[in-house]
Order: sequence, then C-alpha cells, then structure tokens
Amino acid sequence: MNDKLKEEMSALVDGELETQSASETIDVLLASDTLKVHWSRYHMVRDVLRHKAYPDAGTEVCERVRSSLADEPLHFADRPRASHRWRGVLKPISGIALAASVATVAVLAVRGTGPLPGENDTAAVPAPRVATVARSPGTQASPAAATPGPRLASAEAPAGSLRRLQWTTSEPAVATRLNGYLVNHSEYLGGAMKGMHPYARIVGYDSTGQR
Amino acid sequence: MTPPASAESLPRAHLTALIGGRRVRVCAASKAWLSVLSGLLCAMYGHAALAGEYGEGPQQRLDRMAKAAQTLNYDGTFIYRNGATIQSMRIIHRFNNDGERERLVAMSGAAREVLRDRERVTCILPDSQSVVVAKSRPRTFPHSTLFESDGEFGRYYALSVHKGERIAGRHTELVAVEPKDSFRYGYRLWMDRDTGLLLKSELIGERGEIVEQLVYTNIELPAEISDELLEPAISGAGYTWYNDDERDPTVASEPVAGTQSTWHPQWLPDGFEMRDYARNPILASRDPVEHLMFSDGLASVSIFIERLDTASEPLRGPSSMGAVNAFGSMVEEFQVTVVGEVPAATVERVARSITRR
Repeated sequence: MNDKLKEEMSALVDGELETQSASETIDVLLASDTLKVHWSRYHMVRDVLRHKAYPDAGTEVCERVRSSLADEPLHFADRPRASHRWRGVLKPISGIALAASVATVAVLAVRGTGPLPGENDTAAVPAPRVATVARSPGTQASPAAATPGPRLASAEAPAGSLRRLQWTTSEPAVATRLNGYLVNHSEYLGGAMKGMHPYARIVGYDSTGQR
Repeated sequence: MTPPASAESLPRAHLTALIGGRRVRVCAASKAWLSVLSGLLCAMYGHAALAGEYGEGPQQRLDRMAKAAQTLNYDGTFIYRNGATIQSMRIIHRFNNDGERERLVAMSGAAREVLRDRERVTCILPDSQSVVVAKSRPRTFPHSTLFESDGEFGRYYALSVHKGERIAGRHTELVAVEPKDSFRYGYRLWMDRDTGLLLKSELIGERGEIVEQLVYTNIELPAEISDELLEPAISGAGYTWYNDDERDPTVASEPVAGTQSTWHPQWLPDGFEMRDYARNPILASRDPVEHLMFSDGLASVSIFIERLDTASEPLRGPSSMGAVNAFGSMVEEFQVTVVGEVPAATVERVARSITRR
C-alpha cells in the first residue's frame, strides 16, 4: 500500500476524506486488497474492544489489546504535523486517554501496524485530534470511560473539515430544530428510500461546533 | 411483369435479406456490415433480455429493491458520503415474525447509533451525550402501485437498466433514474442481481454532481440475526434522554388519516402527493409540530409547522446539509420549514407557496 493510499485510508476511517474526486478514491480504495486487510483489521479491533463481533473473546482479550496498545510508543506525538505546543503534555496523559477511548485506540491499533516513528507518514494522524485529546484529560480519566467516551467521540470529529456534514446555519438552536425535523422526515420516507438508509444522515452528522 | 427473382436465381455472391418486409439483395462486400448489424441487434437483444430478466422492468426493480431492504436479513458495512464528508457505517437488519429491527452504527468518527424497531427509533448520540427516542412508523410498501409500468412514475423520471459492476463480491444491475425536470435529484441504483438489495446508490444533483453516495464494502445475508447484534454498544446511562412518547403522552402521535392541517402548499413538483400527515412532539420543539409529507415515490419533502416563541431563533431562508435542503420562513408566529432531499430551489419554491386556509 503506497503512501497516498495510506493517507486516504486514514482520512476515510477518520471521516476526513475531502476530495472532489471522492468517488474515484472510493473505487481505488475498494480495489486495493491491502487496504481491505487494513480495513478489516481496523473494524475487527474496534468490534473486539466493544465486545460485539467476538463476544466470546471476553474481557481478557480486550484487556490484552488495551494493555498492548498502552505499551505502544506514541507514534503520533513525534510526527511533524502534531502541534508542537502539545508535545510536552501529550505523553504524560496519553496513557489515560488511550485507555479511555475505544475509538482512538482502534485507530492507533491500525496505525501500530503501519510505519515506525520517523517514517514519512505525516498525514496518518491529524493534528487536531491530538490537540483535542490532550485538552480534556479529566473527563477521560473517569472510570465510566471504559466505553466510548462522548468527549473523545467528539474529539474524533474532523475538526479541520471545511465542509462538514452539518446544517449551514450559524445558530445552534436552529440546527438542533432541523435535526429534530430530519429524524421525523427520515422515518416517514418511502420504501425505495429505505434502502438508502436515510438515518445515515443522522449517524454521519457532524455536531462539532453545534452543541 | 417480371416475377421477383427467387433466392436460387440470385448470384452466389449475393445474399438476400428481408428488411421492412421487402426482399433486399446484399452484395458480399456488405457482409461485414451485416456482421456489425447483427452484433448491434444482439447487443440490443441482450439489453432487452436484461430488462426482461425476472420478468421485471426498471419500475418493478425499484419495487423489488424497496421490499428487499425491508424483508431481508442483512449485515453489512458501507461507505457513506454526503457532500464532502465520508464515513464508514455498519447496518444490521432483521426481518422475522416480530417485524423489522435494525441497527445502524458509525464505524468512524463519533460512535453514534440509530436503532429501530416497530415501536420506536432510538438515536444514541455520544458526542452530545444524548439519546433521542421517537415513535417509529409502520413500514409498508406504499409505492408499489407507483412503480408499476403503467403508473405515472415514468412521467417524471426516465428509467433505464444497465449491467452493473461487482460490488461487495456480488453481481449487480444498475437502474438509472433521470428526472425530467430540475425539481428533483437523479438516482443511480446498483441492486444485487439475486436479491434486489441496494448495494450502491448515488444521488445526482442538477449539474451532474454526486450529492450523496452509499457503497457497500461487504455484506452478508444470514438466515438468522441474534438479538445481541441488534443491541446498542452504548447504554446511554448518564446521557440526557429526549423521549417523545414520555414528554407529552396526551398528544396523539399516530398520523391522522388525510390532512387536517390548515396549512397547505400552493405549489409542488408534478407527481408529488401527500403521503402522511401527523402532529408529533419533536426534539427541541416546545409544542407538537405539524408534519405534512409529500413524495413522488423517490423524492420527498416534509413541511413542518410549529409555533415559535419570541425567544426562539427562527430559520429564515435556506439551509442545507449535503443532499438535504431546507428553507424556513415565519408566517405570523409560526415557523414554517420545508425539508427534503431535493434541490434547494424546490424546497424554497414549496416553502414560499405555503398558505393557511
């Protein structure tokens, strides 16, 4: 898998793939056997951590995955695109943040199979997420954070996106009202549209900046 | 009168063909052209055969697709693109004697889930630490008549069937749905050749751009799906719950037959008919909201009317979210909003035509 594909896959799993030729990109990604391996691995790790795809795996396996990830060097901290001003605080809190964040851990698990620190893979981890994770250590350290943490889930949103999947309005209250309408609209859609999964618009909605 | 020459009397270097009921002599030099012609005829026949496979035309295929989405068990992962945002999601859908149950999960970004059964729709939104519960609507096949070959659907869309690509390891057929006016999107729908299940879809905007896309990366059709797979990964404990049923139990959330609304649009694109009317409690709305739903079978617009207090910020003008457009206006103290997966000009024109009886 070449660097461009890696970069695109990284953006894809992070929901950050912004390109005018996105259709072509998807076709390329789907045609890549290597990508499919990484793709499967990403989802497998995620499902294992969520006790879903492999319920028999139990806590032991999950803990092993978590602890092995906790031992992983923080590749992203040394990457050129990580914000310099966060480097100092990143390492001390990152272990807590990783244990708390299933989503982030899953992403790192894929990254852990990738290039070693120092390799030219600057686009693999977007800087905004690193910065945001570092900002909220208190929340992530709570015991309840063994499940995907809401704050961290929010941190996964593409902070750098120029055109997010959200309503074009400057008023959060208006966006909230429109989302309420959208849920109802989706429920009333006809048979043919059901196959297009209209609730994907709710699941994919980017609430960043519209709380 | 010279009798027509029999085939036997023709020189060997010539062939005889019947075109339009007339016998035509074709010289040997034209044999190559005949080959090309026969090839074209075969291709045309092949296309016709494709359209006629399973005894279905494109409209019946749409109907089959709609039914497959609701009556099959499937568990798949797809890439969803709306505007510039791309996300990976997993859909698990079960249909048995208890009806439909499905679970849609974000595989990247915020770990949102939408769970749906015959009673309610539950949206778990970890990024806003909230759970939204709404009453679900029975899923029927309201468009089966619309998709019949002699129905009116063909007046608004040009339909064609093509050989589709291989998607998620399965062979597909492509139904292209091209609007005959600028008030609706076009659709390109890749359906599983065996089951009719939609495996890839594209909504096409006015300039031919893809405004929304969905493509499966893998899909399984298990005979049975366990309850566990349909349970949410997040309990929602500690989240804020917005339960429409509990907020105002006195409000009838069942749709009322026919429209009892005093509001109605003076203009709709041809072919749009009212499909539903209800007064529902809706998230973030203080009072029950009137909801009028119109559709041509594929495209839909919803009209929402709610009384807004002076402290609430209204939507005046357009807003959009990828393929979905909205247009809001204030009529007296009522916020009137049109929402739909149709071009922006359509929701605006509908919104501007709404009056109160």
